[in-house]
Amino acid sequence: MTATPPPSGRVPAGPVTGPAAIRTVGLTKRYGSVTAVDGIELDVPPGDIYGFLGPNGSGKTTTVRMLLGLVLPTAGTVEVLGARIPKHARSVLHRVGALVEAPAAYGHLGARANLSIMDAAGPGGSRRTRRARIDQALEQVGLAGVGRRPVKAYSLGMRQRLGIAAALLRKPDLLILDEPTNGLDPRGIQEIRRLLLDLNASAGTTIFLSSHLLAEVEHLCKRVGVVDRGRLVLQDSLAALRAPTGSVVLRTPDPEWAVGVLDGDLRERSGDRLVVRATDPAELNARLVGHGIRITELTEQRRTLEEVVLAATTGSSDRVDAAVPPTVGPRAEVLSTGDSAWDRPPAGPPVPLPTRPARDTFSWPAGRDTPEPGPGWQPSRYEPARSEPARPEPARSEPARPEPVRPAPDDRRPGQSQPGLGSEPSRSGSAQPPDGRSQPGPGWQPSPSDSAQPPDDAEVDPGGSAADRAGSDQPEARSEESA
Amino acid sequence: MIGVELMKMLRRPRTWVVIALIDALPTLVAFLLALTDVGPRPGTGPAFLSAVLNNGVLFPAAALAIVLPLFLPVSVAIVSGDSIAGEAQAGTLRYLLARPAGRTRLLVAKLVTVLVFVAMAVVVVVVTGYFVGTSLFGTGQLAGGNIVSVSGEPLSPHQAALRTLLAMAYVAFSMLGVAAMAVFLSTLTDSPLAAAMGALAFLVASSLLLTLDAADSIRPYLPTRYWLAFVDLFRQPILWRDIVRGVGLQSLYVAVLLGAAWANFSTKDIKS
Repeated sequence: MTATPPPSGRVPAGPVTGPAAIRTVGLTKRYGSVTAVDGIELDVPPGDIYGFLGPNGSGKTTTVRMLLGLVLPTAGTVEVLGARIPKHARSVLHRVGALVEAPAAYGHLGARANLSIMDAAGPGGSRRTRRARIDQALEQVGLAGVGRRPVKAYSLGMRQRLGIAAALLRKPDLLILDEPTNGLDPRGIQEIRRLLLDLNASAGTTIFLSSHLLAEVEHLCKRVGVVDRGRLVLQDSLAALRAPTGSVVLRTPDPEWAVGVLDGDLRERSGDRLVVRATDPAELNARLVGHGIRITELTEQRRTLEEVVLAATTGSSDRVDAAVPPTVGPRAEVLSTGDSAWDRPPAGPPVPLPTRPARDTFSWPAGRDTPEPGPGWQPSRYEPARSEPARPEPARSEPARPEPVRPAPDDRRPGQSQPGLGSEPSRSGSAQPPDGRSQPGPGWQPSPSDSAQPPDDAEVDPGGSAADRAGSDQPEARSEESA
Repeated sequence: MIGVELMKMLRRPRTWVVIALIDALPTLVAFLLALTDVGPRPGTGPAFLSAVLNNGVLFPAAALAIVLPLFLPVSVAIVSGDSIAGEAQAGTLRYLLARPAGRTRLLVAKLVTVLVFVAMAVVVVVVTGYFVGTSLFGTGQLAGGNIVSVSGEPLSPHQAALRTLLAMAYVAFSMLGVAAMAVFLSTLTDSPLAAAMGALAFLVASSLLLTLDAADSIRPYLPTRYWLAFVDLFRQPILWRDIVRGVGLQSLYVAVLLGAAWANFSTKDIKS
């Protein structure tokens, strides 16, 4: 073709024994007036497992794409395995395995044909070892028995496994994985996590894991970088970030005595749970026990990764609030529900029961501290307007008719919740944040598996992920497909 | 890389369905002609059809004339429009480029694949045209095996074969303008359909302007202007003027559009 200039990127390899697996300097990407990535300075040493965290839309994927030469930076430089990207991409990227956003494959072809095509499409994949490498990669991700079934018939989890297999195909020195456990069930997540840890330990593979699943990063990574609105706001080792806060959390059946003993060191109290300023838990324990105070529980307070990240970031860009922006208040109110679904709108005022006026007029119960709606509050669909005056019942003079059991307004103590007023947030002190954790911003969405995550050694539902795991004991296991 | 792309095209069922469909139309025409024995009057209908009734050897050229105006460009637009945008839509483009396949390499491989597809389609049409034509209409033994050329002079079977080969090359080359347009659009959009339709719109506009007297001044620059000039290859002697112009014009379109495709693709942010 006359119009086709010679292929670029045939420049000899740069120094591949460089100190960093990934290093970016002032990496910036602007789309028009929007700055998606703003001066990010990543530093990932070889052999590391690095967690790249941030809310949705904070620039994680754009950064990953720049690392792989898919998106060209507006400013700044990218070095991967010591070579500049995109200029020397051809000399190093074949040593990088990548999973960017979702896995992708040719739907009409099977797993082996897909892997074979991808392997043949670039440098570094020897044809002689191709079949063996494909078999090994499929084995590693648990797809050894998939046979010739076309990828379009795969489940989400199988596609994800195939995407990881493609990343592992050339035994890369660096794995860049964007949400690698998307679509996998808990058992699948655990398998992949073990696989990654094993690769890191046995082959020294550097792993760059971009995710918004905090639990995943917390389980895997040694170092984390947190990006927020295109800026790297935090980059440190997980251990340092989760260092003790200098406080001790304790529970005691004798909180009053304990408060007396601790005096100035008390930071926070909620019921029988105390947060005490103390650097040495053992010393504190001895001190309290010395005073005859019984201790149920005593732990050194550490920040969770969630708290670290929530403190460092602002909010998800996928959250679009209505015109009235929440200014103050909603965070605390939301947290006080003790719920981890922080992204729900702040709890509104109680929803009155659909009442049939029993007396001449209906009014809010006397003595009741009617909460005002938070600034971000909007009336729910099912709620009658607050200001709606109750209509006097015109002709009802015989009270003999049985009333439904309903506490008289005057009988109720302030703060007691009325039956049916489910959404009322309790304002009493006893519902403070359970562990004194920092208050999260409204937009951050914690991982759904945060709490459902089984411990590493837990056996969860042995047949759990059999659907997307193609065991090698299946009859098709021996069928082969060459490209 | 080129081998990989060729394999991908050849393993795709769509490729073969499209070629079969392109091939079906001239075959259908041949059967209808043979059954009814009613040819179009000389000077009307697709080129060569009136002559085909006397000698089936001319049917491959007639088959090319049948598929040239619409069927061939539509299929070329579909295949070329799919080249980059199809990978983008499937999400495989980012993996190919991160592999790294190299952007220019990938584009060249896609272009070669399109060329091979065009060549395959043309060869299949001509080969089936030859077999269908000679078996249905005979080889004109009554006229001593000679073929009557468009200008009335006889052509020997050897000459006819050579000219059919030239016609195949010219028709295939004529398709490159469409292919380049579709490839260029394919680097602009992530929708293969949009790329193919855009290239077809380009063709339809050109064909429409050709019929418009007011567009007389730009007529020599319209991409479809010299497409049917391959008929001139069957004159005795060959009338080269339009063929040379056609090749020159197509080369210009191909160069400009592929240059634009390369410039766009090599600097594009891959966000698919």
